[in-house]
Amino acid sequence: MKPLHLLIAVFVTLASCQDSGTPAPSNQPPAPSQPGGGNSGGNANSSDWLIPQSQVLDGGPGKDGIPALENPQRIEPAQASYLDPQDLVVGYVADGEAVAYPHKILDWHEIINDKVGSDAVAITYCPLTGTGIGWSRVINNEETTFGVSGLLYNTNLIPYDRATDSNWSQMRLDCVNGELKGEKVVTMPVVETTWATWQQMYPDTKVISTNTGFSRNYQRYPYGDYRTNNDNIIFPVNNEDDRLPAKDRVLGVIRGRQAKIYPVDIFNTNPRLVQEVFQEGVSYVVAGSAEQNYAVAYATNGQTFEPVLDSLPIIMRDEAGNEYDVFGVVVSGPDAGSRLDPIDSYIGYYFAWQAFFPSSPIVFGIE
Amino acid sequence: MNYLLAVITLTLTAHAAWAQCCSGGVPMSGNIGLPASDAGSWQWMLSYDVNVLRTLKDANNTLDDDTRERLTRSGLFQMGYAISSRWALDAFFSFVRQERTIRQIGFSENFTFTQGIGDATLLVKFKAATLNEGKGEWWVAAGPKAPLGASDLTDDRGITLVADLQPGSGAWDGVLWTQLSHQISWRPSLSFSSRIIARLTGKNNNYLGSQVYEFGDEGQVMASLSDQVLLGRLLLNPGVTTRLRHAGRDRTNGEFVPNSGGTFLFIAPSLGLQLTPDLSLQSRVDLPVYTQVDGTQLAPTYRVNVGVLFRLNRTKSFSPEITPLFENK
Repeated sequence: MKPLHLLIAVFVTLASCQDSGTPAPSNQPPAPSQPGGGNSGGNANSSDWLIPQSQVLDGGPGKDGIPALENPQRIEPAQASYLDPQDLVVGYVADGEAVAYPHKILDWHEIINDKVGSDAVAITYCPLTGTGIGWSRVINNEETTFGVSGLLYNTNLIPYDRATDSNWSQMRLDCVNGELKGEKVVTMPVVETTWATWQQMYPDTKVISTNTGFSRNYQRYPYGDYRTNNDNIIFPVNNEDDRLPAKDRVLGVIRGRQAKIYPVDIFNTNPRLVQEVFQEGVSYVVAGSAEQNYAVAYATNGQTFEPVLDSLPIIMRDEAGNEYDVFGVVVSGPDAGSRLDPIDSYIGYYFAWQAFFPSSPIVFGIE
Repeated sequence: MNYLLAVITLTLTAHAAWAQCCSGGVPMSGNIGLPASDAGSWQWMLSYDVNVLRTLKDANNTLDDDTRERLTRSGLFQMGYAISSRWALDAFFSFVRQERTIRQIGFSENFTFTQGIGDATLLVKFKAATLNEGKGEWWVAAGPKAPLGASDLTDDRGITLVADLQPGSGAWDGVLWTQLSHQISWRPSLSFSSRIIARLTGKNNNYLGSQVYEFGDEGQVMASLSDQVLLGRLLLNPGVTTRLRHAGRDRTNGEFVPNSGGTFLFIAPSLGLQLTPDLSLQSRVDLPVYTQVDGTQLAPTYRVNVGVLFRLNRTKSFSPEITPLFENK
């Protein structure tokens, strides 16, 4: 064989060994051709997952590559010049303390471990699914913190707890890998709304400072046009559904493995209410305002509510005269001091809800 | 004699133009293109390349954060055959190890790697012109980059890793290459060369099982100055290269991947040692002098490349006219 022929033959032979890359028929990643290595999983059991392991993906930055915050500095609203009135925040209130956790901070850190009043809370936020959820940091009577595992399931955040290194699914609200597999998340009620509305609700609020100890450009959204581009889903997800645009912000109310979806836009300008009953007989109320940009849901005991206008944070009143704030707390009336039972619910992008809760019914309007 | 000197000089100058493909990905397009050689001769180039990324950039601002590090270590093998004085063929193969380390204060270090055969490139080269009575040459080349490397490797838990951490791209690319080189008339051992490389990327249609991934197209412009000097009995080839590289943003399913792509300017001093007429050692360090990334990314901090070049079947003798660095009297 001539040298030239030899060289070409080597290249062609090797090239022909490569799969040309025919698309797979589903969202299931193919069986990997060979493993890499490292200590990526820490102490977590490497293969014992409650969800299909093949659908758990590495997001790129790696474990703690996106650094969670611990007890970040809080500042007065007047000092928060980095926030615009329409910027979204995740708000939390406990023992008279109100704290706003802006998306502008959460986009870069995804988890903020904090203590508000006596509550040990972790604000978990996934920029790819648009879901901000409050989690209790007390697990089995021990206080812990959560970190960003760097893993994604259905393109959604998988936090890990630093007590056991177990991995949790943010949207499923349970532990999916590790020592605590199967444990449920204890959620803490949060309100996601605009910075302007949150200040209207809680003028004495504090807000997280950009002085986080990490060097980041908090004025820049790190995901380009992701928030508004309905075609841009960075990682594979299950159950694509086009009944609504993928990035519409919707409130989902969860009952078991089912959910019902309420687009934030259906609530119009003034606060509107929807009272519903799950098939199992659990009744709940959904309240929201498109203009003020919030939507919340609470379990009820069969009361009948009507909206309260222009009195934030009070949003509704029952037939007994009790007035409820946006966290479901009775702030005046015969049952003052009590609160509605929480029900698992949070705001997220529509596509993410369909990925986790396929064929969820949607409420397209309020009569 | 002058022709041979030019070839030798250009040979060594060309090696000063090593580069990288993307911020952390497969080191391919900048490395391709063996030096010109005599008709009928073979060349083998074996090199080790490590690209260290630990500078966190937001656009062109350096962030005060050294908690993350990405390394791409590559073993590169290039073989070339000169069909005639005008036509040559190069084939480029790689073994790639991708590493990611995260060191957050107060937490244990997290380390992930993949390794395996990387992608390969075949380049058909043509000497388009001989310039100025043999003192310069203009070569053009084109060829495919074949996706030999795996693009679906996992970490130690079996979790599939992203495209940037894979040894292969999973896509067929097209590579265009051209080089213009010329001796400096007042110092025959000194030569200038410039090189332009374009990589037109294809699509990995099987990324994460159901997605289409496409690395950004890439262009590089390099300008090199290289000399030959005698240091005692050592024949050395010092050189310096400036390299401007632009990488477009990656795409997933046609949509831009955030925090990918950028423009980089490097200065790269190099040093070669001619052991025998057919055997030389090469070394080079790439240092970034300007970086502008899209969004926030780990950017190159430095890059080191060392290699050995062996040639066979030379048809002419080796007797360069060199300029001693120091006169031995």
